[in-house]
Amino acid sequence: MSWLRIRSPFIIASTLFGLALALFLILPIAASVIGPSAGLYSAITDPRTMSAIWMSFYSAFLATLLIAATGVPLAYIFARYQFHGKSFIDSLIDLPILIPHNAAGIALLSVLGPGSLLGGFMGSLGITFVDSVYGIVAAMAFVSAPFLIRSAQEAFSGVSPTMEYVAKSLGASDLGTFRRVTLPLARKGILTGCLLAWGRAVSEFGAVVILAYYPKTAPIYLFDVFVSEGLRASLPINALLICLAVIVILAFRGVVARGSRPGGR
Amino acid sequence: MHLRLEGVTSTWPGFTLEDITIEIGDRQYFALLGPTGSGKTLLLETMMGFHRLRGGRILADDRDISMLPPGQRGFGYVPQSGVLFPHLSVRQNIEFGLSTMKIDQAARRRASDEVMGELSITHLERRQIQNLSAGERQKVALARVLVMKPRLMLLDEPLSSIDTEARRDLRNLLKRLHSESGSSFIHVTHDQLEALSLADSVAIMKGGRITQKGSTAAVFSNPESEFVARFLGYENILVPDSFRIDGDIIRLTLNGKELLCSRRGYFPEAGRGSSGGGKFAVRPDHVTVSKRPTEFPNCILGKITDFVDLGLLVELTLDVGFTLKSIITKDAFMDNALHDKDAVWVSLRPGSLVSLNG
Repeated sequence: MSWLRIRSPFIIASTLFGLALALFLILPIAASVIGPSAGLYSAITDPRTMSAIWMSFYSAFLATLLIAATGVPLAYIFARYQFHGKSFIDSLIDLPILIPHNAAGIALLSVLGPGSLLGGFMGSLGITFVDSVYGIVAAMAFVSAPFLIRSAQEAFSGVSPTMEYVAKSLGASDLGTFRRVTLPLARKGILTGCLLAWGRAVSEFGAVVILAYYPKTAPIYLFDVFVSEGLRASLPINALLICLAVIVILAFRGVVARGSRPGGR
Repeated sequence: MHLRLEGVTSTWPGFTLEDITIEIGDRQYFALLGPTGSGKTLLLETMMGFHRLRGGRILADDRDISMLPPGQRGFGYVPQSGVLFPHLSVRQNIEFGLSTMKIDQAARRRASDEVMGELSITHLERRQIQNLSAGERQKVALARVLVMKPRLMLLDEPLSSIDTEARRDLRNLLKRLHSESGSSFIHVTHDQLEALSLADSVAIMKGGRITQKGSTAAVFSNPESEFVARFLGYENILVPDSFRIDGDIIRLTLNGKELLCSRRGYFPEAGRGSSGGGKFAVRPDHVTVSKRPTEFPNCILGKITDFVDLGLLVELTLDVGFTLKSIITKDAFMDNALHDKDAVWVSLRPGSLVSLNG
C-alpha cells in the first residue's frame, strides 16, 4: 500500500511522533559531525586524541571479552534452569543499569581500591585497579554486563530445548551440544549483546572517571578538553568519536547479519 | 530391542507421569495414543533419558538403562516436526550423529548416501532446512536417526502437520522401514486411525497414566472405560435405566427400548445402569440406518434429527427415544433417499455394543 494512500489518523499521528523523535536523536549527532568537519583532520592527527580513543576501544573490547566469557554461560544457565535464588540474582543483573554510574564507580572503588580486601589481594599479584587499564576494564564491564547477559539469555531462550535433546540423542555430549547446536543458533543474539555491551563500555564516563581517571579514555579526554579549552576545541574530537562509533556499529551489524544467514559460518 | 518400563514415575511442575508400566516387544510397532496434554511426549522424552526418573526403571533387553545418557541408549529419537538443525544443510543434519562417533568423513558420506537413497531424498542433500516442506523435513529427521542404525525408534507425532498426500507417503515409508529395519518402533500420536493403521500394540494415556494397553485390535474393539471409548471414536455412550444378564447376553433397557449386548470385554454385574459400571458404547459406523426394518435384534424405529455431509460420509443424528450418532457412506445415504426428519429403522448389531467398566 502506498504511504500516500494511508488515511488512518492513528498511522499518521504515529509517523509524526516517530519523525519528531528521530529528528531529536539525529540532529545533535548530525550537527556535531557536519559543523566541525573541517577540524576532523587535526583531531585525527592529535596523538592525545587518538591515544584516548584507542584506550576506549581497546578497554571496551577487553571488557566485552571478559563479560562474554563469564556472562554467556550465566545467560545459558538462566535460560535453561530453575533454581533457588534465581529471581534474586536475576534482579541483581539489571542493577548496574539502574544505579547512577558514578555511584557504580564509588562502589567499585570500595571493593577494588588498594585499601580493600580484594583490591589488596589483587595488588599483591601486581594488578591494581585505580588509574590503570584494569580499572577501566572493570568499570566498563560492570556497567555493560547486563546488556550482554540479557541479550544472550533471550537468544538461548529462543533455542528450543528439543533441539538440544536431539543432539544429545545423537550422541553429542553436553559441551558438544552447546558448541555445535545451541551456540550457533544463539549466535546472532550473543553478537548483538556483544555490540551493545561494547558500545555501552566505550561511552562509559561516570564509573571510569571515579576508578581510573588515567590512562584517559575518550569520554574523559573529551570532558577534559571541554572543561579546559571550551566547546569549540571539543567539537572535532566529538565528531571523530561519533564517526568512529558509527563505523564500528555498521561493521559489526554487517558481521552479525552475515553470521545469521542460513548456512553462514 | 525389547523395552520394558516398570513403574516409571517422573515429575514436572504441575504434571506427573505416574507408575507407567509398559512392554514393547522386539520388532514390535507400538503406538502411544492419547489426547493433547496426556503426557505422551514427556513419556517418550523420559524413555530417551532427557528427564530424571523419580521412581521405577527402564530395561532394554533386560539391562537397566535408567541412568544411561540419551546418546548411549541405542534409541533413535524423532521429535514432533522433525526439529532439524536449521544452521546445517540436509547432509550435515544427517551426518550429525555419525560425526559425534568420530567416524571418518568418507564413511560418513557413504552411510548418509545410502540412507538418503533409501528414503529417496538424495536430491535434497545440499538444501537448507528452511527450504524443505514439512514432509521432507520429517524424512530428513528419519534419515538422521536411521543412519545411526538404532534398535528402537521413538517417533513423536511423525505424521502430524503434514498434508494428506505426504502423510500417506510417510505412513507407507514407516511401515516399510519397520519391516525392513528389524527395529522396534514407538509411535506417539493422538490420531486413533494412525495407530490402527500402523501399530500392532497400543497404550492409551490420560493425565500421565496408562489407562489401557494391549494389542491394537483388542483395545480398539474392547475399550474398557468411557474415556478410552470416546477417544477411540465410540461416540455413542449409553447409560441404560437397567440391565440384566441373560446367559451370554446383556439385556439393557433405555427409555423403554430393549437392546441386546453380546458378551464381550468387561462383563458387568446385573443392576441399575446409573449405579456405576453400567455404561455401553457403540461406534457411529456400527449404527446402520434403513427405510425398512432389518432382521437384526436391535432394530428400533426412530427419526433423523440432523445430518452433516462429510464428503464421502454422512454423519446422522438420530432420535430413537434416546440420541444416537451414525456414520454412513454418502452412497448409502443417497440410495436410501434419506432426508432430515425422515422416520428410519436404526440397527445396532449386538456384537457392536461394548460394555464399559467406568
